[in-house]
Amino acid sequence: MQELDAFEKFLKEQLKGHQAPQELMWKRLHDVIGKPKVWYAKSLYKYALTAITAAGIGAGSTFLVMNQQKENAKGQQALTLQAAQSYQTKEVENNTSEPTTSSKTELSPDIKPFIVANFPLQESNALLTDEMLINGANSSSQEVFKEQGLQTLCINPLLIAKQNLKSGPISKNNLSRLSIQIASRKAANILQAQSYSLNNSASYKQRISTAQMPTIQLQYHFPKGWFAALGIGQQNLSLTENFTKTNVYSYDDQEHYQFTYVFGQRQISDEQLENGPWPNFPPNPPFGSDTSHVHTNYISDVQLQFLEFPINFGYEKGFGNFGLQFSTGLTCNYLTNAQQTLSIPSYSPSQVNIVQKLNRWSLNQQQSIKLQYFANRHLGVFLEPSYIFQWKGFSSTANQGFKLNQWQLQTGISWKF
Amino acid sequence: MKEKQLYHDLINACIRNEARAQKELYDLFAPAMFKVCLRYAQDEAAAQDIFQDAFVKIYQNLHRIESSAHLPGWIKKIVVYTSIDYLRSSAKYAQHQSIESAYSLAAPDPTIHQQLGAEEILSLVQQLPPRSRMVFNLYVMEGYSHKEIGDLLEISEGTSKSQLFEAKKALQKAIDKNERTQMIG
Repeated sequence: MQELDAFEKFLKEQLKGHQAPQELMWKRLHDVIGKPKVWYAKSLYKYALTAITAAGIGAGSTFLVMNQQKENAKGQQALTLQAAQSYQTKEVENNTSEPTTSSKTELSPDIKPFIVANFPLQESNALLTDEMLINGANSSSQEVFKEQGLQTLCINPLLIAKQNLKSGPISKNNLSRLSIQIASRKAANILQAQSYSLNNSASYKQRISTAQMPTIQLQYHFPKGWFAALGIGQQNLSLTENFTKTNVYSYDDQEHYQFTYVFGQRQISDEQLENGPWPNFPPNPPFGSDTSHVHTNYISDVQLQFLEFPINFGYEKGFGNFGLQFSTGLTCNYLTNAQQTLSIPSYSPSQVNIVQKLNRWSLNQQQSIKLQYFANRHLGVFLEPSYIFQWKGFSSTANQGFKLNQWQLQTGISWKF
Repeated sequence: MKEKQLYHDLINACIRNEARAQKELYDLFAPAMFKVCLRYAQDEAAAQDIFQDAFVKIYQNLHRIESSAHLPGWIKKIVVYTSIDYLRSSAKYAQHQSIESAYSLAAPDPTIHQQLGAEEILSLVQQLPPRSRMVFNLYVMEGYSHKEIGDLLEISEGTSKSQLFEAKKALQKAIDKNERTQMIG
């Protein structure tokens, strides 16, 4: 702290203090730093709302489909009843001497269901057997049926109706073998510490964070529950390394300082550092020793953006409206962008694109279990925990780089075509 | 200890983009930091620009802070450095302005009858040439040495000293003139 004279002290006293900025300043600032997430965009609510919305859409569409089917059945029944009644009237007129009106009015309520059940009418009564009558049709009703002169009625489609009763609530009949799913995910990262050979006083901390974009996956369902899936997704990864009291070397012939980081050495010219407001970095002596080094703190921040292409194979099993899928497979990652920012105290951060230095492909293996709920034949919501192990990590030509294993939790919706 | 915990919680919440915490951090530091901006800027509009730039940097770089106990100092450093960057990048910095013309600019409004208060002195400081203003603020208000100021502003120690001298002279003249005006009035 400098020794101030009386006038300087007077000025300092006068200029000290606070002055609140205008209220508008917070609004301006708030617009720039981005509005906070609204409650429904926060993870927990987002997933819950996704599930509820999907279930709502599923329930609504199921209701509409069933309602439509009911309407169709009613219309068909009405037509059949009309046809049956007119046919019955004609037959009675031809075969009995009784007036037509009496046979119509005396039609027993027990017989009506048979007629209503849209059974086709045939000329021959040879097909009218007990096996072909529906369950619950008692002998008395059959007798009445015969007595009424309706022997020519035949009950043919009942077998189909019985068959339909055997199938579960989610019939895969008429469904395509393809399905698509869209999921959002959260990941917990497992990163091994790097093995740098730093000086004794140096310490090193690393922190990794990932941001996942939604993934889209297309599944092809083979018979007997097997399936294969192909997808695409995107992930952004940020690896921050904090080096404290670390030796940074400079080489005369190369005239730059070398900062260790995950993909090797980041070089910054000593002229650049000399000109900067950084008194700890002396200019490199032109005729000094071969190497010179200084102690400093610095932060390396690596931002990677990559596309993911998962290929999975698995087995699925259904339990009523629920389904369970076990899958395993490989994911190829393709690096699309890579930036490194070096921050030194009291010095402007220096950013470079390092994508050209890196190997663009990495390979992962993943296994997952997916629990799915089908709201109807097409629409389902699911929850899928998975573990991803990186076989071949992100690396540069100069350095092995790092491997990142992840636990992921995916939630989303699926649609069967 | 309590403060450290408060700062720690605030930093973490701001990193998570929680609006409430961002506002709390703003409310805690904005009045003091805006005053700093006012001292470096030539007027209130410039101070607002500096203030906004500085706070954007603060929110974006909170994850880089090493210890939550350093938060007030770290924030002030960012505000000061942003002010210096602003003044460096502004056209006025390159333009040479004599201290004499600064003095004439600094002459207070003759309608001010009271002894010079904090606001008037701030107004005089704001009207100093940018480089003198920076040196004055860094030396008197921030406590930097001339060597540190030289390193920071990329000027020699001697230049820093002469800039400070000129700034003080101009302020002294302006204050004396104001007092004379009051006595005559």
